[in-house]
Order: sequence, then C-alpha cells, then structure tokens
Amino acid sequence: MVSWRTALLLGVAALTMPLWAAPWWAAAVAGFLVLAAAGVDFALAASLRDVALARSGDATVRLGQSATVRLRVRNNGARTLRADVRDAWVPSAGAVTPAGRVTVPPASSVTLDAVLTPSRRGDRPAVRVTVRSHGPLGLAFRQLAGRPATPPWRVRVLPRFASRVLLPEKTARLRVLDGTIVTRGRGQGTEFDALREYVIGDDVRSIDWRASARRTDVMVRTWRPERDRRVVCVLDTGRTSAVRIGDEPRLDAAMDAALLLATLASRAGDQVDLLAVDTAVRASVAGSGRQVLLARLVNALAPLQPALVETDFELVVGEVLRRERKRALIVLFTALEPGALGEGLLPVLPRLVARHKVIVAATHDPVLRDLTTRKPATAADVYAAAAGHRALAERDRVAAALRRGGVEVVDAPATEFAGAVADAYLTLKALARL
Amino acid sequence: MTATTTDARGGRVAALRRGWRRGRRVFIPFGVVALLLVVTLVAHAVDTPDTGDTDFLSPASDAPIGSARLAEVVRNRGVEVIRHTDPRAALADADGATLFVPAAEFLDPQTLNAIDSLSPYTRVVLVDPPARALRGIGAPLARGQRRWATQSVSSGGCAIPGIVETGDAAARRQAYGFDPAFGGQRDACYASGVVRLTSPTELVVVGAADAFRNDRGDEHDNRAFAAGLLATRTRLVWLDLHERYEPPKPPVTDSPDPTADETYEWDDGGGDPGDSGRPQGGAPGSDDGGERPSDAAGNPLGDAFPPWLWAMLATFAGALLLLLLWSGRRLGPAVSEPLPVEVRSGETVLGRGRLYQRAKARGPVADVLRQAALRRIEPALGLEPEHTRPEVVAAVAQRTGRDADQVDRLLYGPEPTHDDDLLDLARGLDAVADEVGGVPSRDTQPGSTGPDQGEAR
Repeated sequence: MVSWRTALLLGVAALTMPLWAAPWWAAAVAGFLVLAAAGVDFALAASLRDVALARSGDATVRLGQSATVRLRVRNNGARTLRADVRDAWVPSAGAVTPAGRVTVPPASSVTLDAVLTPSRRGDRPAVRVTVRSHGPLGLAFRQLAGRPATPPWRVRVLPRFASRVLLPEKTARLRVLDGTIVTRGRGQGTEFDALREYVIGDDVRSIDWRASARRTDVMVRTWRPERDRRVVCVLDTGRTSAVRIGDEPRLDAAMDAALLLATLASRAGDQVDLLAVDTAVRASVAGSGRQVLLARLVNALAPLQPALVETDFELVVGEVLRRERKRALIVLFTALEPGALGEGLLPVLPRLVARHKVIVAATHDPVLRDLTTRKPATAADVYAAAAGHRALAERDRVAAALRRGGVEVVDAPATEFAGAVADAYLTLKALARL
Repeated sequence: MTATTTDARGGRVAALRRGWRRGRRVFIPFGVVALLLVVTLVAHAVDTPDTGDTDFLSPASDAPIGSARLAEVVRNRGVEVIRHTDPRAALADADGATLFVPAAEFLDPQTLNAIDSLSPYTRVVLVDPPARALRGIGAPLARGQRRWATQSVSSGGCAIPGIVETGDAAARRQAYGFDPAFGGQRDACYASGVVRLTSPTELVVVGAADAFRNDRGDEHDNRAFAAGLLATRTRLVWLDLHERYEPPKPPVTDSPDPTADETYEWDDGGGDPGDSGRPQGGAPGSDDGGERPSDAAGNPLGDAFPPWLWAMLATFAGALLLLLLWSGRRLGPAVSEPLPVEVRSGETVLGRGRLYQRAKARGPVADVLRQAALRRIEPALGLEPEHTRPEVVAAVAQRTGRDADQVDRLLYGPEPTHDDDLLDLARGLDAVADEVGGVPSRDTQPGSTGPDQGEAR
C-alpha cells in the first residue's frame, strides 16, 4: 500500500506539467515513475514474516493503579524494520502505548511499554497488534491482518478494596474481644481458655471453686471467643446487584464489604468461604489457608459481573447447605427488594436458618432518601416522594419479615456498608452467637 | 487458551451466520421482486426488435422481423417497390410516391427537413419515429402515452385512404396527439396509434412496427393494414436504413445554408466554424439531440484551456486517489468491548412516581405522605400507644400553636383535587413535622445499620 508521500510526490509532479512539451505523456511518465518508486520501496520494506512479537509484564493490577505490559518486537529478517506498531487493548484497559516510528535493526529487538490504567474491574485483554512496515523511502508499506501473530495477554483488574483503611480499627476491636489488651471476663466468650489467679476486679462468678480448693489461691476461669468458626460470604450477582449506587454497581460495594469481612474473620481465626451466585454458581472459594485467602478471594471476585437475571435463591440455599455441614455464619450480600427477596429468599429461608446463622447485608439506595426528605418544588417531586415512601415502606416490610425469620439485617449506605458488615460480625463474635 | 479462542471464533461465526440468516429473511421478498423485474426486463429487451438490425422491416429480408412478404403483397397490388439505403437517393426518387421510413431515428436533420418539402402528392409513412424526428420534419404532433407492448386495436372508423376498411391491427404502441395550434386536416384512428397530416406533404405516422413484420403480418388484419398504407401510390420508395446516416460534408462556404436551423446558428456563435460540418450528431437515443451541440463535436471548453492544465488535473486526480488509498488503510480495525450492565439507581421508584402523576393518583399519594408524616410526628408527641385521631390533632395543635381544624384537615383531610393542592399539602406536612420536631429521616436513626445492639448489654 502506498503512503501519503507517494501522493505528495505525484502532486508535485502534477505542478510541473506546464513545463513539458507533451503534458499528457509527461503525466503518464510521472505516474509510472512514482508508482515504480513506490513499488521498489515496497519491495525493500522489511518482511512481516520475519517479525516476531512477545509480551511480558504485569498480569494483575488493583483497580485505580497502573500496570506495565512490555511488547517485544523482534526483527529476524535481513532488512531493517521501520514500523508503526499499534498495540490495541480494549478501551476500558486505559492503555497508553508509545506512538511513532519504531526502527529495529536486523536480528535485534525493541521493547515497547504499554501503561495500563484500567477503568473497570475484571479481565482486560490485549486485542490485537498491528505492524505497518515502511520502506526506506517511506513511499510504501506492508501491512497484513494477522501477521505477525498477536501474543495474547490478559490483565486481571482486582477490586479496589477501599475498605482496607477500616481494617486496623476493626482488628483493634477484635483484639479487645480476644482479650489481648483488656482483661477478659465472663461473657466475653464461651470457650474455656485458662485458669489464673484472682485479681481484684474479676467477676466473682467466674471463680472456679474446685480449682481454688486444690491451690492456696483463688483461681478464676478465663474464657475466650470461639475460634475456628466458619463464615460464608454469599454474593448475589443477579439483577439487583447491577443497580448503581453512586458511581459503582451494588456488586462492587458488596465485594468491598466481603473482602473486609473475610480479612477480619481470617484474622480472628475463622474459616472463610465465598460463593457468588445468580442462576448458577459464578465463583466459589473454599478451604483456603489464612495466608493465601485474600489473594484467592480477590482473584475469584475480579471477573464477576452483574447479570440481568433473577437470582435463584433455591440454588443459593442448596449450595450453602451442601457445602457447609457445620454451623456457619452466612452473610448474604443482596438488596432489600420485595420482589427479589419476598418471592425468592423468604420461602427457602427457614431451611437455611435452621442450620446456620444468617446475616442479610444490603446497601441503601441514597436516591430514596433524597426523594423522601427533599423539600418538594413541583408536583412531580411530590409524586416521586410518595413513590419513595412506598419503596422505603416495602423495604422495611422485607427487613421486618427477615428479622422475624431469625435473620440479622444490615442495611447501610454504600460509604459505611463495609464497616457496618464488619461491625455486625464483631458483635456476633462478642456475643458468641456464631 | 486455544480452546477458548476457537470457541470464541466459533461463537462469532455462529453469530454471523445467525445474523445473515435473519438478514436473509428480510431480503427474500425484495429478491423475488428484483428477480421478477430483471426477468421481465430481459425478456422484453429480447422480444423488442432492434431497429439497427439489418433485417428490421427490410423488403429484402425473410427474417421474422423483416418485411419481404409485405413487399411481395404490395408488389402484387401493382405497386413498384424501390428499395433505397441512401436517404438522399430515396428523397430524390420519392416525389409523388410513397416514402416508407421504418427507422426514422437514423435520419439526419437535413433529410428530415427535406421530407418536409416534398411535393404534396407524396405520402410519407413513418414507423414509431422519435420526438426528434417529428420535430425535424416539423410535424405538429406530440407523443402521448407509450405502451409497454403493442396493442391490437380496432380501426374505429378510419378516414385515412388505404386503410378505410381494414379491421383490427397491431398498430398502437405509441399514441400521438395533435398540436392544438395546428389548423390543417388531420385524421387519427386505431386509438390514436395511426395519425395522418396532409400539409404540406401527406404524412402518416404509425405507432408500432408489428403490423409490418413477416411473423406478425398474418395476425388480425395486419397485412391488409400495412399494405393499404403503402399501396396508395404507384411507386413505393422503401428507405432501408439501419445505421445513423452521415451525409457527405458539403464544401465549406460561408454562404448561409437555406436549410440552416438554430443548430447552425449556435455553432457559429460558438466561434468554431470548423465544427459546423457535422452538426447533426447527437447522443444516441437522446430525443432532443438535434437542438444541442453534440459531444462528438468536442467540448468547446477543451480548447479554451491549454492541454497541460488537463494533464495536471488528471495527475492531481491520481494523487488524490493515492491519498484516498493511503487514508483508507487503517492501522488495524477499531476495538470493541462489551459494556457492563448499568441500571440507574431509583429507576423503578422514579418510574412509579411518574405513573402516579400520569394517573393523577392524588388520593393515594396524599395518604402515603400523611402516613409518612404521622410516622415522624407520633414518636415526638409522646402519646399513648393506642391513640386516637382527636388526640393526635390536639397534641399537634398544642405543640405547634396551630388551629386544630387546620391540623386536622392537613393530617386527615380530604384528598387534594389539584396538583397545586397536593404540593401545598406536602409542604404543610413537612412544616408541621419539622415544627413538632420529628426525626428528619429514619435512615439517620442510630441503630438501624446493624443488628440490635441492645442485647449485648
């Protein structure tokens, strides 16, 4: 294919037409010469068959940060490669690739760095590398679809986990429960920990008289919160998770909270499993050790996307019952929506509650609050406010029905959601109700 | 990896095929119509005889589209049939005879003009002449409706000598109308498919060639019709012309030609006397070619600029073409990506609000607002658990200093009848709730965000 320079050359030749005695012949000769030059240039361009591409670099990146993926262009041919290289990624990968001409001498290679700042969670693939090999004069170039072959690459964009900042505070509260800082007493746990001497201030009810009789001192029993409990985070990825709260889908808020809860629970010595379900199981993590748990969770959550389907709570309950034989804390991240929960979850809830402790965690829709508390300016606002009041009333009805069924309900705005879920866990832990 | 890529490709191929299948359904009716059109057009083109064919209505041809049998019939009626291929010779021979021109579109303007000035005893028969030929002769005829195929029509009381008694004939494909300004004698029969003018020459125009053909002559009364038209004089001059006639160039003189028409004047105005020798050329098939300077004569712009300009323009065009080729080759196609599902928050609620508004559901809306206001007010009043409406009204009136009737109307009154009333009601409820000191919103209440903490203590 010819380049703009060929066209320019022919245009310049056109300007000389008045100087020739036989202009038509001159035009024909000029056209022939220019095309011949382009043909020679084309023949001298480096062959695309001798170009090899390879990639290396980051495979994962946290949302909001940048990753670098290197593309190595190797020229195995005998001619120098002068090429335009376009490294095309999906738009949401936010790739910034070096522009301009790349010159690769024979039997050597050049590395091009693509800096990716993804705008969305999930897998962001590299789509295609196009190489345009120019001739030495720049008159013509070679370009072929699919040659050289594009090396595949995929950058996994992990959830932001913005609630990490809450982790020190929640861990401190956990330590208080654990008794590493404050002297523990009865009521702080149900598992027997150790016997120690009585000090003033201890609860007299925790004095172990039998042990005191064996020793000269008065001994008290100490208790600690139960350990090695099971926590299961269940993420509903159905249609209600697609609703955008602020500028994130509800699913992302749920992921954030689930990650905080999982980290906290694993520090408290509990076993954390994860399940993401809509009409099928989309992701599941089970039986991870404490060291690799966060990495595995984040990897499992990264590619999840909301699906526009009604969640099958029958399946959710069946899966949880199948996986968790022992009593566990089930944290179900969903939305308090009468349609989805009333018809899906409430009928199957008793089976779950009979075996496990259940928390239903849902993020608020701040729009509802705005609608119902705003001073109305037009009649349309009044109608919208009435609709908002009705939606809130329905939400409260669902929450009340869930509470009647023995379920804890966490209902918080997206900004406080992760913290609220963690607090609910800590409270249950403190009450030894896991 | 390879499995997923082949899967993806298979999926893409399947999607393409599905899309094509869906698209094909749309194209089926259009395709059928297009096919029918093409078949019809091709069949019609094959069926219509070509006037450029040397057999076409030739007295010497036995082909289906020839006219040897008609010539024979005319000869048997005692008419001398003279075949000419040169219009000049035919014209020279035609005075007082019948001049039959089956393909008038090949005549040059000069010949047409000369036909106009033949002696009044001559009969000129033209078969389906184009508008240009009619204008060239100066006949005050206008072409009317043209049929897709020739129609066999009845004579309808014909006064044209020769065919007064003939019956149905395939004579009408092109119908003709008379110029209203024309005052001379005129006849029209066969549903205006055959017309005759008598001044200055007797001119008969037939709207279809079918009646003259060998293969169609036996149908209806075609042969009698055609022979009748051609056998009214003792001689028949048959102009067997099948290609555009180029008259010999006259010697170049500046003396004005007596037959000069506006064509010559235009050319003279163009300032190029060298072109005036061949003014009669015209785009083939163009009906008004005779009135315009022909392309064959060369565009006068061609000589107005030096040749290098045209060469330069052509080279620029080539450069532009190369530029287009270059810019048309992109560096790889655009990249697409599926977008995630997006549902705006509060979408259903806002939609329901609009539904209320469209249904003018002021009563239910007012009820909802009143209940919401009461839920805010009642805890702040500190009433007994089971309180009655008068108690609430009295307590609110006392707390806010408002009139009890007004409070009652606000909290329990009739439903508003207008949107403005509804707006006033909403504002009034807000104001009362604020004055009573109810909690602004339940979402900011402590304790609602977590499990009940009371049990912990």
